[in-house]
Amino acid sequence: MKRLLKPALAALTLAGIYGSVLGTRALKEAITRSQDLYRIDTVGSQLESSLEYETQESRRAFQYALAISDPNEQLPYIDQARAASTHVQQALQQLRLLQSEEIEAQVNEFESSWEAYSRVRDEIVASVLEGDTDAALVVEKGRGQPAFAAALENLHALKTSLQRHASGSSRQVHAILVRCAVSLAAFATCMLLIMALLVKANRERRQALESLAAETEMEEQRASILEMVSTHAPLSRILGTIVDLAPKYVPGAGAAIWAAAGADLHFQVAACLPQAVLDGFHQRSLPRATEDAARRGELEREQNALAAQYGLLAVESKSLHDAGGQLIGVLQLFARGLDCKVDQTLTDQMAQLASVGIENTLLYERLAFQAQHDTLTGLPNRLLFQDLVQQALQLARRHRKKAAVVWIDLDRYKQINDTLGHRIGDELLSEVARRLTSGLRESDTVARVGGDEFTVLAHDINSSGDAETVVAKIVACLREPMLLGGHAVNVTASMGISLFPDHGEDPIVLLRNADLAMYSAKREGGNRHHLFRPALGDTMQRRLQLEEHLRGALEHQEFSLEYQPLLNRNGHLDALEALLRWTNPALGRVSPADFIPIAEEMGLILSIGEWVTDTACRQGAEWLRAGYEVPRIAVNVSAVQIIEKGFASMVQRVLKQYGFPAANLELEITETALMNNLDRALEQIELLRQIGVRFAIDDFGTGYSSLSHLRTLPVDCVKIDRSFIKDLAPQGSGSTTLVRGIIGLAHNLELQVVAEGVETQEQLSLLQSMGCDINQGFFLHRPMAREAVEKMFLPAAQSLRTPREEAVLRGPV
Amino acid sequence: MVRLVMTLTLAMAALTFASLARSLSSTYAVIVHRSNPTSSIGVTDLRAFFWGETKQWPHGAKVVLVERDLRSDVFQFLMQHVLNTTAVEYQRRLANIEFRGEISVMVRILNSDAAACKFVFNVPGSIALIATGSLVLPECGAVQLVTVDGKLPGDEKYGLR
Repeated sequence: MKRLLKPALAALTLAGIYGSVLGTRALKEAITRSQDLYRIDTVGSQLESSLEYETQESRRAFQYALAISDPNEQLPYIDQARAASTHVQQALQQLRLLQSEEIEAQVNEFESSWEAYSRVRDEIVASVLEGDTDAALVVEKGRGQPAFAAALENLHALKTSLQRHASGSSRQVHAILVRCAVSLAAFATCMLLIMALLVKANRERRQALESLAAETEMEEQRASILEMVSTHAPLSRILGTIVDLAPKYVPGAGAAIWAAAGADLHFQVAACLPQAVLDGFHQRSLPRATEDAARRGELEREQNALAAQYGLLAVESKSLHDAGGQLIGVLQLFARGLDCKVDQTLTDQMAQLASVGIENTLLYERLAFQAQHDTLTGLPNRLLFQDLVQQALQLARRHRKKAAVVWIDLDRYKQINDTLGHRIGDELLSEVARRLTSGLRESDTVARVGGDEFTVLAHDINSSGDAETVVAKIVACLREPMLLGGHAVNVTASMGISLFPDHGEDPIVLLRNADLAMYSAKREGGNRHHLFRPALGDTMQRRLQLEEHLRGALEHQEFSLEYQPLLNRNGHLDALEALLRWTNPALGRVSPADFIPIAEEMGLILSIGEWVTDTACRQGAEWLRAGYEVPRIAVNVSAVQIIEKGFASMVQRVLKQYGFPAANLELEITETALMNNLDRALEQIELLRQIGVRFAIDDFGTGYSSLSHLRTLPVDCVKIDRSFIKDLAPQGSGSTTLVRGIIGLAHNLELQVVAEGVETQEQLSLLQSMGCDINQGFFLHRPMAREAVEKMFLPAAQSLRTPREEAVLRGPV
Repeated sequence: MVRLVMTLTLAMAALTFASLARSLSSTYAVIVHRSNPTSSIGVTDLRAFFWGETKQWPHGAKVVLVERDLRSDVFQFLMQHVLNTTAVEYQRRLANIEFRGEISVMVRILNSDAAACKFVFNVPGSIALIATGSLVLPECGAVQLVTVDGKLPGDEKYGLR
């Protein structure tokens, strides 16, 4: 219709213009003809009157001429006669404008006869004025009257022509007027049609504008709702805005929305529905599952029936789905009466917006839950737990109660995970979570704060005894073996307890202290619990500091090596023991006794051990290249390293990389480390001994002290622990006897003996008298830096022996 | 100031017009019918016309004298300056002509110059003397002004002044 409007308007306009042109032309012609008629009528009457007047005046002039002789009195009458004649001339000029040949001929004829008469008349008038009445009468009778009669006759003929012409013109005018009327009617019709079309177009345009305005408003509403969705406005507010669209755009319409909450759809909001209907909706939720579709439909019908009682007709029920096709809500639209039509577009828009709103809210809630809960067990995570502890502390503070935080770390979880697999490990964690949740009070909060670490918040307690009760419940929960993947797994836990307000008034402090207490329990072998005490805090604080800094020590190049010389019985340099040193900017110099055990526990010892081996071999190689007589370099190997499968290959790679002779490398391993994993250690030792690497048993005597095992161990040297050397006495002691025995046995096994921790002349003399091969200790040499070692390598330096070296050379006192 | 200038201008115009009118009113013109072929006459001819001595125009038309009333300036001028006679003498002389049985000339007395002009317009053989100022009258628009001794009323040495 819109496409046809413009051509129709153009055609009608052209038709109207054509009609108006025709009408105007006809009107103009009619006016012309009417003017002719008027002229004919006017001129005819003028002619008649003029001739009549002229005739009368002529007669009168004669009468006056006869009666008076004064020309002064005659002249006015003559003027009148002449005026009448002038009128006749004017009338004739008018008639010529008719442009009719017939009229023109008649006019000419009449004019000539009239002029002839006029000439005679002038002659008569002259005679009259001259006073020659007789002559005037003669002329009048002889020529005037015939001329006048001739003129009169021509006048009649002219009048007849005029009447005929007038009649014809009148008919023409009539016909023209009819044509004009028709044209103007056509024009008017076109104009009316144009106006009608314009009115219609205007109405459509107004409707389009109204529609556009409505669409724009809808878009704004839509944008507003999406804005609410994006800013996580409450779902009720979002849905409330959506249902309000129904009555806004369709007067009399109402709407209601159900949204997913768990397994059901719960009534959320409605617009323009009676309270009784809303009460009915609130009373019953709709099942959400696909298999319950029939039941859901039945319930919806019941709701519709309820609405119908209040004059509301259910016109639409749209299921709302999320992107995955899951049912997340229902939109119902109601109308008051059959005349109330709800636009499908509006319904679709509302359904779409409601779907987006509900889906987004559900997603947001899920994300919020995930952000605060552990995905595996569903328990609160550390973040939420801290919040919950914070709330619990506020309550406890208000009610002057205590609260306890229990930190639970499963013992041997890593082993279970490594041996039985991660799936079993996850099942174990889930089972522990389930047992803890079900075994404790509902008021207690269980959380998972790490891999195998759980926490329990027990509030409303009065003493540490109540906390112990909670721990006892936890132990009871874990007591029964867990059947996981066909394996019966016994789980124990190390636990630490901190109390509010005794051990802290802040959630973070309480959690840290519970962790420290747990760690303390763990260090004591696990399967126990410790209550936090402040001293524990200091120790563990130090330990935590060490752990924290140790992680970056290697990367920050905080480690270094010092070398302690080992001298033989002749006082010659027999070997250098590479000793690891850690200097941290914050902690200062840290003793290996402090950080090595921690590095072993943290699993860092492998990297550190590799660094030590690498650095010692590189240094030895550099010294060799520098031309020094480099003795053996002894490197300590931890228990963790020696059982590592790649240990031997790592040592081989380092030796090869720097070109350091294997015979110049001696690896020291503690007796305990060796005996704990003898088979795996032997494997690595054999591989390295085959290429010439020497092995020494370090700290001999502190561990198993199995002298019989010495026979079977593939080592080259035994280093007697410093604790035995310290107790050596010339008068004899337990240690003296033991040292003597070790030396004797080792020599029988053709092993070298090194005495560690030689700090006095007496100790040195006694050891030499016992036949000890090599001595090491502060009395002889303190550990020294690379540069000091290099000075010692110089021949001149070797000649400048210290008094103590001289004592070694002198032999036993 | 403007009003003063306008007043002076109007006064000067009025004086000029009055002077012109006085100048024109003191001269006289001879008029005949426009069909009359005679367009010039002499003062002598004029005297002959008005003494009734010339009774016929050269083209044959009968002469009709048009005169003003006895008290008019025109008639006085005709008597004193053209014919050098008096009204009584003049009327007596014309009456003698008629008395002698001669064919007398037709004389018509008219009350105004306008009437004189109108008469001349209607009578082909008529001749009239009117004040030159009357020539501007509408009634005098359709008559023929003839020269007197070859001069028009505005010319120098015009004989009828």
